[in-house]
Amino acid sequence: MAWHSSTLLFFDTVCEIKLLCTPSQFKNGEKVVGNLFESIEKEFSPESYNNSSDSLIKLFKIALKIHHDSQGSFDISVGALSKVWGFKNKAYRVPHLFEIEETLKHVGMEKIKIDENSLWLPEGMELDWGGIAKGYAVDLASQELRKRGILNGFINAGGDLFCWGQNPEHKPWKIGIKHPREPGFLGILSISNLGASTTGDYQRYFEVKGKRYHHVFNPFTGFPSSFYQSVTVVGPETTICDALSTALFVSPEQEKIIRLYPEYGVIIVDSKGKLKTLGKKYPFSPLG
Amino acid sequence: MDRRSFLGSIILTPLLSHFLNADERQPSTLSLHLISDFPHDFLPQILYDLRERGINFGRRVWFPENTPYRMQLEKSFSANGWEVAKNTSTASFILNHNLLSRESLPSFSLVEKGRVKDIRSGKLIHLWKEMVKRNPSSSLLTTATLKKGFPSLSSGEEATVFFMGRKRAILSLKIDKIYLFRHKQHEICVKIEKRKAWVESSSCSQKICCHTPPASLEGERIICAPNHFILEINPSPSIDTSVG
Repeated sequence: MAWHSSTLLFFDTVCEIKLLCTPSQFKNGEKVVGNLFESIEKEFSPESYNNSSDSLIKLFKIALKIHHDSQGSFDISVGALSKVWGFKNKAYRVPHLFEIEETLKHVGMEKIKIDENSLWLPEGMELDWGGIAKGYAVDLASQELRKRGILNGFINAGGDLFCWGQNPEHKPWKIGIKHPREPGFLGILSISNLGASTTGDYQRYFEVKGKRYHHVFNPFTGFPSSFYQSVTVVGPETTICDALSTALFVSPEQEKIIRLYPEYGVIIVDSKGKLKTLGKKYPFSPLG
Repeated sequence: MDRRSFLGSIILTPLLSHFLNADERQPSTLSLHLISDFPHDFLPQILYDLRERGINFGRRVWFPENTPYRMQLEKSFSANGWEVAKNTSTASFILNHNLLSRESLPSFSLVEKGRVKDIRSGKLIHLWKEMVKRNPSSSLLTTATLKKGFPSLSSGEEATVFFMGRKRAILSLKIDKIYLFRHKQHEICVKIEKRKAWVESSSCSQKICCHTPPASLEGERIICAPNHFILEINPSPSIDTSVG
């Protein structure tokens, strides 16, 4: 039994796994994670036309619950907004106001019809699973590895992570939270058997005349949300952490939302760079 | 020198080692700071004396190629029973040297677990007298650091300040700023600029802290014993992975 780690490329990002196991367990584990990530990436890609798979329906229902709980702040139907702002093809631009107003007509999860087997999207609507699918993939992969007897490890899919057991120093895992404006870390989480996910305005953005336009859209205004620089959520499921970090990044009413998720804790850097925490307290040491 | 005038003079030097009731959570490090232009003549004797008292720096010393008095140090350590390690990985402690920007009275201080310790004894007082007699002003600061507390070559991100026996602040090296620490007649001003920290001014008389070069690397320290002050560059916290 030894520590093994590897790096995989999925979801347009670097995915890191580190596990305490035998070499053969690691080889199999790596394969399982790779296959799982590949299938989820395919299933939830914008090009996918399969609106009736079990996992898609399951994840849509989770997304819809968070949509309701956040009074619409979390919305996977913002795909058309990403497109009009140029985030889909990296042809970044600030659209005219009338374009945004037009695009907003195609946004709103409540417009999606769902039956037992399928999702029915109104014409012009595009789903963007980016705020939840990676977290979901991490949860499925970590569950699968634990089922296979791997008791210590982590999976980190470009910032959506789940860690379980202990780190190589026989302590809780030390997770650095990146500083939204400076090199280095905002602070360190010491956690185990928990997921964590961050949404920030620094992850994908472009600047026009000194103004930053990032990829996390407010579904009500059609503009990038500007209340916070970063929001990190920690809790039992990475899927929820992933979606909640987006919801809380967009919503000005964070306390109201987090009250509905008592097992989750939040580390926020507001638009002025001020750090605050909300919800359940997990061990976190701020730096600097 | 009578006892009274001896105490009067010693009280103004870093040899004065008031106990700092430092925070016990400070990582366990051990370092000896010697101001003398002749470290090869005095350092082995101090370390030998400390070992007799159970303060052990180990048997293998390493120092860089460009160390002043390198040959003499090698000879002196070997004669006193130490081995000179070829690299840091096999050393138990390392020496590094800094030139003070102004000459100061020779002295030595031990820092253990964030606390400046009184290491005076009959023997070391004689040694200190000898140091002063031989060269009343020195400009070479030699630091012997136990291996686990080695200064590294990585730039730190923050500095911890202990002042008057208490952990007083963690300063970010990323923000250029001046900090003033004041308690009764003790006052010390720290400046941070371009990711380096130094003592800009101090109420102590010798100003050795002000003459100590800026600290920026993990594990580097600036000490002012009269003000019960230690500034230490913290090691970057090790992390397993990151989000964001």
